[in-house]
Amino acid sequence: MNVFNAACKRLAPLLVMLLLACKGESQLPAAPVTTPGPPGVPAKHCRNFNALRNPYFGDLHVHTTYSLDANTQGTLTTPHDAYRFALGEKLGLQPYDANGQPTRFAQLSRPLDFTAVTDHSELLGETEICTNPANADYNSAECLFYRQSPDQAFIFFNLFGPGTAGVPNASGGKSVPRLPYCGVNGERCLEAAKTPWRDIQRAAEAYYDRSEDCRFTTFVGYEYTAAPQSNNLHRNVIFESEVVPEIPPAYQEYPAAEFLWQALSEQCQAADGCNYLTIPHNSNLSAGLMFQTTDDAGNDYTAEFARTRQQNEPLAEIYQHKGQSECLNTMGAGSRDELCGFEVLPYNNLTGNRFGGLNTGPPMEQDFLREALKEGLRLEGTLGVNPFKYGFIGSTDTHLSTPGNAREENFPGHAGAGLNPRTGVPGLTDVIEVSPGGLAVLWAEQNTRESLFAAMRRREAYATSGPRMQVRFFGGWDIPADLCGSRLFVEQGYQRGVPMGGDLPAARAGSIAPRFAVSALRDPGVSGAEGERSEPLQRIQIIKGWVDAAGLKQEKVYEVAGNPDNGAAVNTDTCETSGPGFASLCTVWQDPDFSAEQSAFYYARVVQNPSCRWATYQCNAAQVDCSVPDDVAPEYQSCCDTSYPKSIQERAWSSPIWYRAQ
Amino acid sequence: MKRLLHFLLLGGLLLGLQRLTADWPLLAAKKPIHIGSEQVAAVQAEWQGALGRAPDAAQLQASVRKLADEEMLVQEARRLGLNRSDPVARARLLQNLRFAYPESLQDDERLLEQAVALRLDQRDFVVRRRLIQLMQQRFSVGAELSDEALRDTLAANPERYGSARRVAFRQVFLSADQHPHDLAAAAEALQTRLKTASDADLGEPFLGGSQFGFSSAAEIRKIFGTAVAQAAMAAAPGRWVGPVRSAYGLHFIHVDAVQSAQAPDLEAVRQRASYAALEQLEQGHVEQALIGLRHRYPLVVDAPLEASGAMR
Repeated sequence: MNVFNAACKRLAPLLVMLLLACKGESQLPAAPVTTPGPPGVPAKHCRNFNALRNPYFGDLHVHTTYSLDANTQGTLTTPHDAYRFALGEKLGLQPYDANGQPTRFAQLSRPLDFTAVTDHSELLGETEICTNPANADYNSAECLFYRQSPDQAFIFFNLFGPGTAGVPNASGGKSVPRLPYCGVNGERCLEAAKTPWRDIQRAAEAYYDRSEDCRFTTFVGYEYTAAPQSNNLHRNVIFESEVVPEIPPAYQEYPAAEFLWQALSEQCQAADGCNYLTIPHNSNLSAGLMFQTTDDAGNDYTAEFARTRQQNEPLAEIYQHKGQSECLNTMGAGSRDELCGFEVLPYNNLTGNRFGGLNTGPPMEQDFLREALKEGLRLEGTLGVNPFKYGFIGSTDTHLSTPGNAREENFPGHAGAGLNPRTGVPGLTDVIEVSPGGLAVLWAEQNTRESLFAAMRRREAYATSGPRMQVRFFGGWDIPADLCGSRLFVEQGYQRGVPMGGDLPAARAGSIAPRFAVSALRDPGVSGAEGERSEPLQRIQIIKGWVDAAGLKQEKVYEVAGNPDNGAAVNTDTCETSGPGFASLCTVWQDPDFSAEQSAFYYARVVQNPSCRWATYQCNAAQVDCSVPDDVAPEYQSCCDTSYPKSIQERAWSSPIWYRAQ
Repeated sequence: MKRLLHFLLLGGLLLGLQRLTADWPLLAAKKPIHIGSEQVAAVQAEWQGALGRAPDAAQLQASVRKLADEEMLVQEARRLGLNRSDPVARARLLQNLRFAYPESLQDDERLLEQAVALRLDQRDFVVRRRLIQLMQQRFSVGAELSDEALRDTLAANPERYGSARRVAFRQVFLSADQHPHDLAAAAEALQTRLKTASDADLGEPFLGGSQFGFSSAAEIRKIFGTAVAQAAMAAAPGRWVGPVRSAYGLHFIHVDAVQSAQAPDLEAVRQRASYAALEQLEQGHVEQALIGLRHRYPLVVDAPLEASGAMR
């Protein structure tokens, strides 16, 4: 500290001068930025550009060795490994053999289209540049300033930090390539000062296919890990481009979401080519905090605060290893929705079952997105702005660097929470309540960062619990009732309605009720020896939520296509499936209970025929026989825990479409 | 004057040498890494847990080696003073002690000394991990990438860096849901009509579309599944092939144009291939550095791994 203070004193006059210079210089030369096209209409770049948009499957929640909780559980795989895995390459997992080679392997039978590695920023961010005295820049003016006044540090970072001016033109073969974000003073960004954050950026650059093939997109990102008293307020921060803050704003410095957004808005400015969004996850484990209706200081939401939240957070993660956050089935009409029983964790925060459940309680409806969306409508009624306007994505939250590894048949475990594969007992690969997680699907014109990011922004996204079904969902006032028979389903959907994530326009005079067109294709699966089995669809539901005239939150689940009683079944002793199902389902549905005076949201849930849950595969493989409890080995006792189902119905959740009463 | 100059030169030389060798593990005193029977048992349990079986002798030896390497990196980091100078390690140690002794009025340096005396810098998993990471980063610095290495990377990963073969095609679809009993007959009738009628009006609508721009096998497989992708990639342009069965029904495919696959172009992918190759190269550097470091930290296993108690 003495050295620090001395340096501060020496450099204080310089700091003041620089700060004054910054303030006086209102017309700072902006870094060159590629101007994006109008929203939603990117310039054609990729060979498979489709103006009507393609579905892109990916994972926006991936941990590697740089995450403390992954590393301490034996994960040594890196962001590079994670991206190679997403591309379809085989990845070795611990433990390692005599030659240092891994003994377990994982591989996707279908590569992903995009992935973001999102290691925890805590213990990663505040390191080398400005906080490591061994670093030559430790006593640089901007670092002193950063440590003293982080709130104003953005001025310096705009001056010296991110910017696209210094992108090196790699010509010689000898030099170590630099990262594209290196600013005017690129020397500081030499790889000699490599840190995890820079390695994460470099890995993202290494596997982002910028050619016209557009095979794969990476996003630079990180997880903001706020968890006061173990109550989960985590967010994944996703950046649109390679221009990112020098240091990812972390919980230590920014201990509430609003501080995070403030820091990001300062350190990641669109004028520099930096854009971001934050995606909350595991609201199911927030013990009532994720969607509370006050800010961190306990003040009620204001319109401005609601707008900030909506702008920063267009999406929420509805499903991952640590359960679903859609609905709990405990309140009002929700108690009739038996499909809310899917992958519910039995506690309400990250402590889970540790310490005998002392620091947790049963899950709470208000932590689930359906309830939050209703609360958002209620707040919109008083504030004029809806703070909880979330579209849906799924992801894995893998702590093994295995993005998209969401199949039930070969779940290698979460490796973050739950069982530690490093010292685990033989038996199930994880605690019974976790699950393999899901996927994020984005409707975009092409597989580029700009196009995918725009899809996230407009919420044209949906979640799946792992399978790759395709789901289109349009809402509008004059969607043709016979749209399903048309070859122009998609064209008409866009022309005469809004896609998932959108807002219905104001009702026209004479309109009775909005129509919703929903069409889904089953997962086509992968045939062959290394294939991937898939199940047909069973039904589509539309879930409506609203606030009634008395101010009470309401919801209703409509069966709109398929057949919930189709007789499809799975033999949980063999995992063989039987019974009919649908290769595709399509319908145009008109809300029979529509009231123009009530704001509402509508989302589609596409449900597969039943299939085995992950643990059932493992219990069967171990030939566990629960009819003779005494013979069941302790490590397989969970196989006989009847509070967890042996089968599941995989599903997709579309982002909602909102109607706002005038 | 001359003597003074010699004195200063010699002194400077010695000082320089001392500085140089401080970072030179070979000249530092040897410090064995001891692995006890408890640690060996933990390694065996780890294997049992992950694979359901005990490791064989060679595997156990390698796992213990890995454990020792980590310990070695922690010790080396401590020797270089990183446990006190690295801000993350410092912060964690101070945090631990302030948690343990909330009433303590001691300053940071005293507390830090106490933490080191309590060996917290070796036992706390955050600090351990941080120190290991710092050492690995030190070792990975200095890797240089040659054009030759870059070409090797490209040659080893033609699919990652080259352009895939692509076909532009149309399809006519018959839905299995809509033809639960007469799919084959409908396909036969359709095949005949394809010869004369415009395909735009034939078959049934398919959500995935009927007309596709230049698409790779992977992109087609994503929408239709494996069989259609294979058929489209194999089809000669300018004529209908099929029917091909998918999870949805039957498809007739007409390839309109083909773009052939292209080998990787070094200049076009130089940057991203460099980043990928460099990562591999750095791993090699770390491995080399570990081998060097093992001379200073010989491994002594205080448990029967095999006949002899020590490993190389």
